[in-house]
Amino acid sequence: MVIGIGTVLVVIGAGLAVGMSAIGAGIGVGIAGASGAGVTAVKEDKFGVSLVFQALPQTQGIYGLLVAILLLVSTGLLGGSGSTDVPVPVGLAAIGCGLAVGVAGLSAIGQGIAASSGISAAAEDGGSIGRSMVFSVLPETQAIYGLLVAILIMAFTGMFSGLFTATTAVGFAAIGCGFAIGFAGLSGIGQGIAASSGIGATSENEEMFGKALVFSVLPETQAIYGLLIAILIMAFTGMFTGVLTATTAVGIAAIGSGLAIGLAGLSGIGQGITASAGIMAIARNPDTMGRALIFAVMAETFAIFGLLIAILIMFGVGLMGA
Amino acid sequence: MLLPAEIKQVTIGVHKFYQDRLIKDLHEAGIMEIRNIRDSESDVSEILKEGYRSPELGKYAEYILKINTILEYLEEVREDSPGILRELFSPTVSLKNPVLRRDHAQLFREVEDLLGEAGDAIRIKDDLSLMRERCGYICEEQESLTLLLPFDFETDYLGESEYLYIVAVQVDPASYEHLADEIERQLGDEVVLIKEMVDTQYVTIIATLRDNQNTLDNLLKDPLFTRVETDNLRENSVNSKENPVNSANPGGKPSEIIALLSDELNNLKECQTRLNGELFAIDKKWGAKLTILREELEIGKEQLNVLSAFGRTKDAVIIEGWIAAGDVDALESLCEETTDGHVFYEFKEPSSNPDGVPVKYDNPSWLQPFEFLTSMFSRPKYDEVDPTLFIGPILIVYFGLMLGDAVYGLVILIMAYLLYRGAGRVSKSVHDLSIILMGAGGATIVFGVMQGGYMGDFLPRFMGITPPFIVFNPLDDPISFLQIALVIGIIQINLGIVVAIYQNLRRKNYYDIIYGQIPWFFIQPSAAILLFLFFGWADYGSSVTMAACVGGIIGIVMLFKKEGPLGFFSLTGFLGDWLSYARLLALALATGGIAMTVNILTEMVSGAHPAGVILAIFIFIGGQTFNFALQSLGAFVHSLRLQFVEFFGQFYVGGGREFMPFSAGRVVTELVEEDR
Repeated sequence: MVIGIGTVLVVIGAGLAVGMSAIGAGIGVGIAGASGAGVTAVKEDKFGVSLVFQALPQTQGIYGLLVAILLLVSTGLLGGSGSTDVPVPVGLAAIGCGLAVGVAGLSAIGQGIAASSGISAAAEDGGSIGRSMVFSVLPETQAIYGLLVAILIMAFTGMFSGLFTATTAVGFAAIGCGFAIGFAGLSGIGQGIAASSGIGATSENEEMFGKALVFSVLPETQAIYGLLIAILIMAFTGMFTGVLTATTAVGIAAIGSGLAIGLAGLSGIGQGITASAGIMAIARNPDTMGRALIFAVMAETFAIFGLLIAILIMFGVGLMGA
Repeated sequence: MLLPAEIKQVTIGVHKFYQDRLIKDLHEAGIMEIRNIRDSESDVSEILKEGYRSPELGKYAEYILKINTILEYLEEVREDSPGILRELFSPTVSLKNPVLRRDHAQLFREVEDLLGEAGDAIRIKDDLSLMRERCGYICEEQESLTLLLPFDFETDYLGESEYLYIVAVQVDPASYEHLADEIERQLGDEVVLIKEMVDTQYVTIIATLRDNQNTLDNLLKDPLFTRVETDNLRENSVNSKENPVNSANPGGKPSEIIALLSDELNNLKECQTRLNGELFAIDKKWGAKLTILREELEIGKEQLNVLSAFGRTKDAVIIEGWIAAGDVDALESLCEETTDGHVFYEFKEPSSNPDGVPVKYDNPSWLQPFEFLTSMFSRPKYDEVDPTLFIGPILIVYFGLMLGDAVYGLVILIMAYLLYRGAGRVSKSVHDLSIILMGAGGATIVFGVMQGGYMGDFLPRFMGITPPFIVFNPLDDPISFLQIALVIGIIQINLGIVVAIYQNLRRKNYYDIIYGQIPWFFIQPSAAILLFLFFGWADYGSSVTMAACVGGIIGIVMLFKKEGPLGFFSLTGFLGDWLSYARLLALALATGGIAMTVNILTEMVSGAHPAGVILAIFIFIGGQTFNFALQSLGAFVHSLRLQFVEFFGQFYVGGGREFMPFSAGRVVTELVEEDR
C-alpha cells in the first residue's frame, strides 16, 4: 500500500467528519438523554418515547461515520486493494467532505435541545408526540445538507469510482464548500432553540403549531444560503460538468466565499434565540406575530451580507464568468 | 372543495311537547351544531326565560360514575390485551349492539337492574383492597417476628406492664457498644440487655423499670438504632366474611405467631383468587352490557345538557345553531317528521364576520384523509381557501421524490394496505393515515423506478443489473435534479400567489392584490432575465434588458409601498422560500447515499471472510431498515414543511373553529327504530 500525501489528507478528512459530528451528536444526545432520565424517573412508561427522541440527534454522528467510512473506502484503506495512491487534490476535497458533514453535524446540539423539550412534552401529553417530532426533526436539515455536499464532492472527484478527476483548484474549492455548508449548518443550533420553544408552546396550545413552525424554520435560511454557495462553487469550478478549467488561485478564493457565507450563517443561532422568544410572545399574545417576526428576521441581515460577499468574491475572481 | 362547506345559521321553534323527541332525533342525525342562545347574538334572546337544568342530570352523572367504577375494576381482571401488532394489523372489530329508544325512567330501571347484578363487583373490589392491605401488614409483622425468633419468649411481654418496660432493638454491631454505654450511663443498673446476632445485626431485648420508659424512648431515637415493632396488625383487621382469620397479633412465641400468620396469608391468597374469579365471571356476563348502558347514559346526559342552550317561552322552545347548507333539506324533513309539522325554522346567511362561523371541510372522499394535515397547521377560516386540495397530492409527490426508492415504496405500500385492512376498519385516523401512506408508497415506487433506487444501488452492486427506466438519478446528475426541484418550487410558490389573488378577489381586498401579489409577477421574470445576463448564461437585446430593469424596479417599488422597509425581507424571504425546495434533492441524495453506503459495508464485510456473510446480512438488514425508517420520517416531515412554510406563507393563515355537530357518536350501540 502506498501512503502518500493525498491519502493522508483523506484520512484527516475522515477524522474531521466523524470527530466533529461526534461532538455535536454527543452533546445533543446528552441533552436529550438528561430529559429522558428525568422523565422516566417519574413516568416509567415514557421510556420508549424518550429513547426515540434521544435517537434523533444521534443521526448526525451516523452521517459523520458514514462519510468517514466512504472516505476510507475511497483510499483503499478499507475494503480495497489500496494499490492506487490518492492524488493531493482529492485529499484536499476529502477535507472539504469532512468539514461539510462534520461541522454541520454540530447542529445535533440544537436537535438535542429540541428533542429534550419533546421528551418533556410527551411526558405531559402523549398526543403531542407527533407535533414534537416534527419540531425535533427540523435541525436535522442542516446535517442532511452537510451530508449532501460531502457526497456530491465525493461523487464528482471520483472517490466512489476510483477514477480520480480533481484538480488542485477543485480540491481547494471543495474545502470552500465544506466551510460554506459546515459553518452555515450551525444555524441548526438556533433552529433547535426555536423548535424547543415551539414544542413548549404547542403542547400548551395546539393551535400554536403553525405559527411556531414558521418561527422555528427561520434560522434554516442560513443553511440554505450555505448550500446554495456550496453548489455554486461546485458548479462554477466545473465539478458537475467535468470541465475543470479553474485555476488554483481561483479555487483558493472559493474558500473565502465559503467562509463568508458559512461564518455569517452562524447568525442563525441569534435568530433562533429571537425566534424562540417570538414564539413565547405570540403564545401569550397572538396579535404580536408581525412585530415578533420583524425582530426575528433582523439577524438574517448578516447572512444576506455574507451571501452577497460570497457571490461578489466568486464573481470578482472570475468564477461566475466575469 | 376549494372553500369550506357553506354554513347556514338556523333557528328552530317548536312546542315544548315535541322537545324531547326533537332533541333525540337531532342528536342521532348529528348534522346541526347547537349554540347557546344566550351566548349568541340572537334576535330573540331578550324575551326568553332563564336556562333550564334537568333534575335527572344528577342521576345520569351518578350512574355513569358507578358504571365507570365497575368497568375499571373489571378491566383489571381481563386477560392480557392483544399485542400492538395485532391491534394494528388484525384488530377485533366489535359489532354495534341494537338498542331501542327509551325514556329516562326506562333507562334508569334497566341500569338499576344491572347494577343489582353487577354491583357486587364494587364490594368484591373493596374486599380485595382490604385483603391486599392486610397481606402487606402480615408480611411486615412476620419480618419483625423473624428477628425475635432466637429469643423464644412471649411477645406479649414487649411494651409496658405494671412495673416493666421491654423493647426490642435492631443495632449494627459497630454501634452496639455505643448503645450499651448510653444505656448504662442513663439507666445505671436498672436494666437488662440480652442480644442475639440475626443476619448481620444484633437484635437486643432491653428490659427496664417502667419509670425509665421516657428515658429509654429518648435514647432509642438515635438513628443508629431501629426498634422492632410487633404491633403492625392491631389496627388493621379485615372485617370481612371472606376472611375468618383477621385478628390483631394473636400473641404467643414468635415461631407460633409466624405459623398462624402464614396460615392467614395462605387463606387470604385463596380468597383473593376466588374473588378475582368472581370479578372475571361478572365481566364475562355483564361487561358488554355495562359498556352499552354507559354509552346510552352518556348520550342521554348530553341530550339533557343541551337543554340549557335552548331558549324557551311559556310553551315554545327555541333552538339556534349552525348547519351545512347541504344538510338543510335533511334538517327540514327531520323537523317536520318529528313534530308532525308543528315547527318553524329559519335559515340565514352567517354575519359578515367570519370568525364566529364554524368551519366544516367540504372535500370529496379521496381528499378527506388529507384534511387532518391541514388541521395540524390550522383549520381555515370560514371565508378562507381550504388548502387541502393542493397539499394532499403535492405532499404525495414530494414524499415520492425525496424517498425515491422502489423497494422502500413497496414496503410502505404493503404496510399501509395491511393497516387499511386492519386498524383502519376501527379507527378513522388510522384509515386516513393508511390511505395517505398508500399514496405515498405508490409515489415512492414510481419515483424510485425513475431514479433507479432499489435499496440504493443494490441491483447493480449485487445482481449486476442496470435498473431500467431511469429518468434522473440524483447521485449521477444532481444538477438536473436541482433544476427540477427549483422549477417545482417556483411553480408551487406561484400557485400560492395565485390562490392569494383569488382569495383577495373574493374578499374584495384589491390593495393587497396590487401591492402584495402582482409585484411578484414583475420581479420574478425581471430577476430571471437579469440573473441570466449577469452570469452570462444568455444574451438578450438591450430592449429586453431595459424592460427587465424597469419591470424589476416597478415590482420592488410596489412591494415597498405596501410593506415599507420590510419589503427587503420579503425579497430575501422569497429567495429563501424558493431555495428551500433544494431539500427535494438533498433528501433524495441522502436516501440513495446512505443506502449505497450500507451496501458498500455489506459487500466489504462479506468479502473479508467467509463467516462475514452472516454479519453482512445483519448489517444489510439493519442498515436498510434504519435508512428506510429515518428517510421515510424525513421525507414526510420535510414534505409537510414545504407545504406549511413555503406554500402556506403565500396565502394561508387559518384559525377557523371546527364545526362540532350535536351528535350521539355511537361506538358500541346502534339505534333501532320502532314504529312510533
